[in-house]
Amino acid sequence: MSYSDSEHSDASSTSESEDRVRAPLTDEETKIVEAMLDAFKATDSAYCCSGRVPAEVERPGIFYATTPATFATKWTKDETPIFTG
Amino acid sequence: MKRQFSLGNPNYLPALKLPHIFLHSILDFTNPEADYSTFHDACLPAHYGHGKDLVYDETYRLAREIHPKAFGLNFDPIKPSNEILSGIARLIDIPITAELYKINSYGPRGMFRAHQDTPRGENHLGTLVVALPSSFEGGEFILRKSGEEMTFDWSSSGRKDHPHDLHWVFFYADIEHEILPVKTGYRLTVSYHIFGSRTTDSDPPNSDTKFAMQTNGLPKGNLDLQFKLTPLFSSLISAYKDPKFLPNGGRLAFGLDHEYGVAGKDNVVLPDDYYKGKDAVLVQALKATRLSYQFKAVYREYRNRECSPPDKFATTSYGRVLLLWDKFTGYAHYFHFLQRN
Repeated sequence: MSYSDSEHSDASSTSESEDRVRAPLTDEETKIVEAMLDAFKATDSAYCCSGRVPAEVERPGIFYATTPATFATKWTKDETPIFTG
Repeated sequence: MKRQFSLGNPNYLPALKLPHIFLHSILDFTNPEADYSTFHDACLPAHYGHGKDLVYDETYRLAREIHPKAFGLNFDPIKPSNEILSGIARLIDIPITAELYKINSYGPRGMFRAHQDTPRGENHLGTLVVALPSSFEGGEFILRKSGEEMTFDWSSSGRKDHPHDLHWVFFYADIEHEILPVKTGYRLTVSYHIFGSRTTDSDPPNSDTKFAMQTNGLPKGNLDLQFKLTPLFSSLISAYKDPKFLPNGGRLAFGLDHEYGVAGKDNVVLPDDYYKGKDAVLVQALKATRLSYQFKAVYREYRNRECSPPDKFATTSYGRVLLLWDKFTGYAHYFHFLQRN
C-alpha cells in the first residue's frame, strides 16, 4: 500500500479529495475511529512534574535593585522602566 | 558572611536615562525579620499577555515582578546536581534548555486568575516555577488539564515539613493554571521558560515543504515493542490493515491533546521532538505504522479565555474537511491528518 500527499495541496482546490473526505463513514468505520480516539484519549501521559530540592546554601537570599519602582507607571517591551515620579 | 550571587545582572541601572541613586538590598529568607514588603515594592507591577498586548488589571492579576537584570540569587535552583532539568527532560523525553524569566511576588490579596502562558515559540514547551522559601499563607497553585486538577500548596503551613526547601513544578505551556489569593505574607517564585533543544539526529524542520508531509516511518521489523502493546498503536494498526476501513482511501484528523505555540501560522512544520505528552505517543505510533502525517493548525476563538489567545482568531480552511467527532473538538486546537490511497 502506498501513500501520497498529492491531495493535500489545498483544501479549497481539491474537490476530489473533499468528496472522498466528506463521504460519510459507515457504522463500522465509525466504531473503528471511535476506538482509535478512545485509545488516544486513554493514553497515559503526565502534563506536569514536581518535587523539592534543598537550596544548599546556609542563608538563601535575593540580591536586588531597590529602584523607585513605585513611581513607574509603565514600561516598554524591552522592559526599561519609564519613570514619571 | 560573604555571599555570592550567581544569577541576574544588577548592573542594569546605569542604562536608565534619568538620574537615580543606585540602591541595592538583600532579602534573606532565613531571617525572621526579612523585609518582604521592601522587596515587593522594588518589583514592578506584573502585567499579563492578552493577544499581542500587555494588560494590567488588578482584578485579574495582582502581583509584582522583577526581571533578571535587576536581581541575583545566591543559589542556583536548577544546577545539575538538583536534577530538576534532567527530571523534566525525562518527562518530555527530549533535551531541554532553561531560560531564567523572572521572580513573581504576590503580596496580601495577590492572585492570578486562570490562564495559559503566552507561547514563546514553537520549541517553547513549558514553564518551571520554583517556590522561594518565603513566609506566606494561601496562594495555592492550581493546574488544570482535561478535567483534572492538581493543587500545590507552597505556603508556610503547606511546606511545614520542609520549610527551607525549594519546591518546584514544571507544566506544559498550554496547561491552564491559577494562583489563589495570598492571605498573608509574600509568595515569591522564580520562573524559567523551558525550551526543547533539538537533537542532531532528529529530522530538521523543512520550511520549504509547503504542507509538511512527514513520512519518516520506522523500518519494517524494527517496531518498538511498547507501541505494539499500546492500545493506541493497536487500534491504528488494526484499522490500517482492515480492508473495510476506508476502502477507497481517506483522511483522518486527530485532535491533539495539547496546544502549540505556532502563533497563527497556517502551514506549520512542528519537529517531532516538540510534541507533548500523549501527542508524542501518537506521533511515535504513527511513525511505527509507517503512516504519513502532517501537522495542521486549526484555531478557534477564545470566548471564555482572558489570557494569551493565539494571534489569529479564525478557523483555517481545513476546518471544513475534518473528520472529527464532537467529543474531540472541545479542547483541541490542532489536528493530525492521516491519509492513505
